[in-house]
Amino acid sequence: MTPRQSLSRGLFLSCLALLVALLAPLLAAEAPLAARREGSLCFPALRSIPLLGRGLDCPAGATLDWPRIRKSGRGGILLDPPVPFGPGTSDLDSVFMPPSRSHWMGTDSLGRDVAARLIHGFPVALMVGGLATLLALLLGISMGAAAGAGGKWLDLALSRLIDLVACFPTLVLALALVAAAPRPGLWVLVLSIAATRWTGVARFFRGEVLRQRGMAYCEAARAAGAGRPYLLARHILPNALSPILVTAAFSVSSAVLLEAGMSFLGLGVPPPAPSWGSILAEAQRQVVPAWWLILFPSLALFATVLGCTLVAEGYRDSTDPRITRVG
Amino acid sequence: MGGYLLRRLLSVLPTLLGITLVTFLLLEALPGREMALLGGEDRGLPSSGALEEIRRAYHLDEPIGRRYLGWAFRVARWDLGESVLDGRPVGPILFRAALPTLALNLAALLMAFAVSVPLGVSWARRRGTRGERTGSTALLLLYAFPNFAAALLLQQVFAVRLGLLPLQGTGGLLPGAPPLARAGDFLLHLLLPALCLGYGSLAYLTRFTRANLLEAIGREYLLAARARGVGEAVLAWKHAFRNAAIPLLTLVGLLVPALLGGSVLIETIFSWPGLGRLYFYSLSNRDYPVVLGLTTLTALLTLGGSLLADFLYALADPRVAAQEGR
Amino acid sequence: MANRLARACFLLLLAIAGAGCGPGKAPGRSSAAAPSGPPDSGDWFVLPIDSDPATLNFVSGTDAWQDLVARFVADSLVDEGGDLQPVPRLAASWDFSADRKVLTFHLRRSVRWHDGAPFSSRDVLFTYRKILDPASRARADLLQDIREVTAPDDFTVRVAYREPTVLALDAWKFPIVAEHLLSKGDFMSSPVHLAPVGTGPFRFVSWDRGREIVLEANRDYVLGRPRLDRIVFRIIPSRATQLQSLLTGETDWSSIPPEEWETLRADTGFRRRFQIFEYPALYLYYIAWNARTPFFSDVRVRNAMTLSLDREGYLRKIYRGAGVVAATTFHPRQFGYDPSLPPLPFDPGRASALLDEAGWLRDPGDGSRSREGKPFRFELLIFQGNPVQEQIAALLQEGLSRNGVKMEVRVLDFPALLDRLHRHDYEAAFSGWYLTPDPDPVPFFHSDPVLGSSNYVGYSDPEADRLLAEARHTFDPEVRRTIYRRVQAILHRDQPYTFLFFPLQRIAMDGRFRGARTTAAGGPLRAFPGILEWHVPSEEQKHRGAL
Repeated sequence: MTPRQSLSRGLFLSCLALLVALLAPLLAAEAPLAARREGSLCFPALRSIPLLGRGLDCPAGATLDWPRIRKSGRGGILLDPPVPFGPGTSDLDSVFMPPSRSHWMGTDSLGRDVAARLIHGFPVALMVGGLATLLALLLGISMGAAAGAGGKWLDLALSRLIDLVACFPTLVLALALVAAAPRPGLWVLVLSIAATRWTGVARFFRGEVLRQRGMAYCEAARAAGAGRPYLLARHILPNALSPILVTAAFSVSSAVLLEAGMSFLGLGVPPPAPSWGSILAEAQRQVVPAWWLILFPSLALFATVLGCTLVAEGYRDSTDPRITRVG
Repeated sequence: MGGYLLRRLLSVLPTLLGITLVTFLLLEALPGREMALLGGEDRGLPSSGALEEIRRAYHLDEPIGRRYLGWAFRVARWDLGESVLDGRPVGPILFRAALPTLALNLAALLMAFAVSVPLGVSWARRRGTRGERTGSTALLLLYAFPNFAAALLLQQVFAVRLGLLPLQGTGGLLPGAPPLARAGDFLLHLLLPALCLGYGSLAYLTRFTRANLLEAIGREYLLAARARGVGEAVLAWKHAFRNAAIPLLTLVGLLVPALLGGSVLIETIFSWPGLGRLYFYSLSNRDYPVVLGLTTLTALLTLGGSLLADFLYALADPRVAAQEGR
Repeated sequence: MANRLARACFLLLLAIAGAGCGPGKAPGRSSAAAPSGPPDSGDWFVLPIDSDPATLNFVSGTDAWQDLVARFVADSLVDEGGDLQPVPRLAASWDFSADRKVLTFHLRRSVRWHDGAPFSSRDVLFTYRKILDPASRARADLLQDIREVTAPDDFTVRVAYREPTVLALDAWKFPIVAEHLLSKGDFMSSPVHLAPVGTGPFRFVSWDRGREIVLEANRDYVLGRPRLDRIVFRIIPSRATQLQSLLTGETDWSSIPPEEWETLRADTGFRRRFQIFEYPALYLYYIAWNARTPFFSDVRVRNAMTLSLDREGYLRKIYRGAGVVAATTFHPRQFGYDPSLPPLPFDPGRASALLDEAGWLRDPGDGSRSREGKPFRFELLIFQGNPVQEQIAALLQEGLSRNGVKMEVRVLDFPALLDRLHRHDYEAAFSGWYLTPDPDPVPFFHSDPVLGSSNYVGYSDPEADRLLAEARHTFDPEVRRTIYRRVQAILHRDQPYTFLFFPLQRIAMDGRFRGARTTAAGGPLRAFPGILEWHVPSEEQKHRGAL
C-alpha cells in the first residue's frame, strides 16, 4: 500500500466511524424516526438533537413506551431506525440470542441488542479517545514548549518529570488515577487517559523546539525583536504540525484501546454505557461465551484503530521526504 | 563517553525517588484504605477502637513526608516491607510474580523476533515487490487488531471449541508430575498468552529490521565485500544484520514498560500469575507495600532498559554522547 | 445336552455379571447409593477456591476460604448441626443458670492440639481475650453482651452475660486457637498463622501460595478419625476454570453458574458422574437508599424505587432461578419468617403514582421529574467485577428512566465503596450482607450506631428499635415469632432498603463421596459433623497411598 492509499483508506474508515458516532441516535433507537400520533406527524428519534429536538417529539412523547407500542402493532409508526432498539432497551425474554433477523448481531445477557450497543459505542469511544488525545496534545505541547524554550533548569526539571511519568505502566497509572478521583465519572476517565499519553508529545515537541531554535530563521526573528511566545506560536508550532498530527492520530487509536481495556476490567466508562470493552467483559464471564459478543466489538475496535493507524502512517509516510516512493 | 554514562547513571536515582514519591502520594489519595486493612468485607461499621488500632499499626496519623522517608530508608536497606493482606515480605511476592511475567514477555519477544527478523531481512532484499506489500499490509492489519480481543477469540477457538490448548493458568498438572512433563505443560500454557502479547509488535519490528538493514546495506564497506564476491544472502545475514542488531537491542530496552503495561489485560484473561495481575489486584485491595514495591521494580526495569538503550546507542554512535553533554 | 449346558453357563455368567454391577458401581445422588461394603477410609477431597486466603489467622481473618479451613483445622466450643440446633464440639455439654445470665461449658477432656500439647480452658480464655483485643481486628459483635468469662478449672468455662440473650450460644461458634503457641511474641505476626495448629479433625500440612492448601486427617481427633485422608484446597481464580476442572476430574467440587444449571441438570451423563445440590446461601443483595438525602427520606419514594425493579423477572429469566426474592432480611427458611408478607411486585404504574404523590412531578416537555426546581437525579454506587450488580443497575436505570428519574451508575472498587457507605457519603449504593442462621436483624436496622453497625441508611424507627431489642431477650419462640412478624411488617412498610434477593447456591460434587447432603443449615460443607461423615468406597477411591 502506498502512503497515499493508506491515507485515503484510513480517512475513509475514520470518517465512517465518525459518521456512525454522530448519527448513532438515528441509527439505533427504540423511538421511531417518524410516526403519526393524534393526527400530527412527529419525529421522536430526533428529540435528542439539541435545541431543535424538543419540538419534533410526539405529544406526551416522554411517557410513550415505544417497544410496547411496536409489539402491539398499532401506534402509527411510519419509519423505524435501521436498528429499532436503543442501547439500553432490555428484553428479559430474549437473553443471549445468536444473530437473527430481528437482532442482526444477537443479544447480550439482558436481552439488549448488540448492534445497537455497538453503534452507540462509537460516540463513546471516539469522544473519550478524541478528548483525551486533545488534552494530551495541549498538555504535551505546553510542557514541551516550556522545556525547550525555557532555561536550562526548567528543561532539566521538566525532562525529569516527563521521564518519571513515562515510567509508569499506562494501564496501571490510568486505573490508579480513576480510583483516586473523589467523584468518578466520564471526565475522570478522559483525564486519566490523557495523563498517560502526553509524555510522548512533550518529548517530541521539546526536541522540535530545541532543533528549530538553532536555525537561521529563528536567530533572524529574534534579532528583529520577536519574543519567545511569538516565535513558538508563529513559527515553531506550524513547522512541527505534521509530526504532531501523526502523533495525534496514533494517540487516538491507543486512547480508544486504553478505554476499551479499562472498561473490560470494569473501571472504564460507567455502566450501562455501551463501551465495546464492557461488552467483551460480559462475554468473557460466560463459561462458553457467546461468540457474537466477542466478534462484533472486536471488529468495531479493529476498524476504528485501523482507520486511525492508516491515517497516521499514510500521512507520515507521504510527508516524509526520506521515504522513497514505490510504483 | 564514560562521563556521559556516569551522568546518565546518576540521573536514575532522583528519577526513581520521584517516581516512588509520586506513587506514594497517589496511593494516599485512594479512598477506602482503612476498610481494606480491616479485611475488606461488608460486615458493618468497624468500631472506633478497631479504626484507632489500624491507624496506629500502620502509622496512618503521621505526616506523609515522614512516612515516605521511613519507607525510602527501609528500601535502601533492601527491606520492602510486608504485604498488608497476609503479612508476607514483599520481596518474595514480587519475585514469584516477576518470573511468570518475564517468561511471558520473553516468549512474546522471541516469537516476535523469530518472525519479524527473517521477514525484515527478506523484505529488505525484495523491496517494492507484491509479496512485500501485501505482507506489510497484513502486518498492519494485525497491529490494528486489539490484543485482548484477539486473546478472547483465540481462547474461544483453540481452548474452548477445539480443546487443543489449555484455557488458563500456568500449568494443570498435579505437583507430583515429573519435571519434564511440567516444563512441557508450562510451555503449552505459555503459547497463547505469549502469542497475543507479541503479535502486535510484528509490524513495527519487521519494518524496523528492514529499515536498519537497508541503511546498513547501503554502506561502503559492504560494497567491498560484494566486490570480493560474497553472495547477497550471506551479505544480508552476516554483515548487515550484525550492524542492525544494536538498534534492535536498544528497542528492546524501550519496549519494557509497554510490555509490562500490556501484560495486565493478557494476564487477567489467561489467569497468568504475573506482575500485571498482581498490580491490579494489590491496587484494588489497597496493598500499599506491594504496589510501592511493584512501582519501584517496574521503574527500575524501565530506567534500566532505557539506560541500556542509551548505552548501546552511544556505543554505536559516539556523537550522541557528545551532543547530550551540553 | 450341550445346548442346555451352554445356556446354563450363559445364564450363570449373566448372573455373575449382574451381581458385579451392584449398587456400588454407579455413583448416584447422595441419598440413593448404599455402600457395598464396610465404610472405607481413604481418598482425598479436592475443592477449588477463588484465591489464597489473606492469612490463616483464625481470630482476625475474615474471608470465606479462611473460614472453611478454620472449621476443619480448629474446633469451636459448639457448632451448628444439620437441624440448626447447636452440637457440642470442644464443649461436651453446657448449662444455663436459672436466670439465663450464666452459661457454663464443660469441656471435653483428653483433647490434644496437633502438636501434642493438651487442650484446656486456658486456650478458650486466651482466644476470647484475643478477639476482644482491638489489635487483632476481629469482629466481636456477638460478644458484646458478655460481662465476664472465667475458668474455674481446666475443663470449665463460665460466661456471665449482662442480660439474658437468645444468642448466647451463637456467640461461641468461633474457632479456638492455641494459647501455648500464640501467647509468645507478637500475635499478629506469629508464624503460626501461616501453618496453623488446631485441635480439629484435620491437621495442616502445607500451603503452596497460589497453588494449594493441604490438610490431612487427624488420627487422634477426639470425636474419631475422619474417613477421608486429605482435603486439598486448590486455588483456581476463575469460576469457568473451576467447572472445567471438575469435568476433567482435577477437582471434586464446583459451583454451577446459572446459565449452565438447566443443561447440566438434564444431562444424564453428567448426573451419573456427579451429585448436585441446591441450597440457599446465607447472603442478601440489597440497594441502600440514603435516608439523609432529599430523595430517599420519603418512604413513598423508597417504595417507588422497589416497585420499579422487576426482581422476579430478573431471577427467573436472567439468573435462571438461582435466587429467592426478598421481602425483608428474613429468609423464607429462617425462623420467624412471615409468609403473609410477600415482596413488593413489579409495578411501574404504582411507582409513578407514588412519585407524583411525593411531589416529584413530570415535566410536560421531556418527562423528567423534579420538585421545587430540583431534578430527580441520583447516583447509584456499585463495585467492579460483579455482574449481578451491573445487570440490576442496568435494569433499574432503564425502568427509572421510563418513569422520569435519571439514575447514574458509578463503579468503585470495593474498599472505596465500603468507605463511602460507612461515611454515609452516597445517595444509593449496592451491596450485600452475610446472614446468620438466626434471623436477628438488629445490626441492620437499629438506630444506635454501635448496635446497628450495618445500618448504613440511617434508618430510625423507635418502635422497631424497641421490638428488636425485646426479641433478643425473649426466649419463648412463639412470642419471638410474634415480635418478628411485627418487625417484618414495619420493614415492609418503610422499605429502608430495597431487599433484592437471596442467591441460591448450586454446586456439583463428584459422585464417589458418600454421605454428603444438604441440611437446614446449608450446603454439604456447612453443618457439623458434615464432612467428617463422608467416605468413598475403596474401589472408587482416586487418591491412594499413605496418609
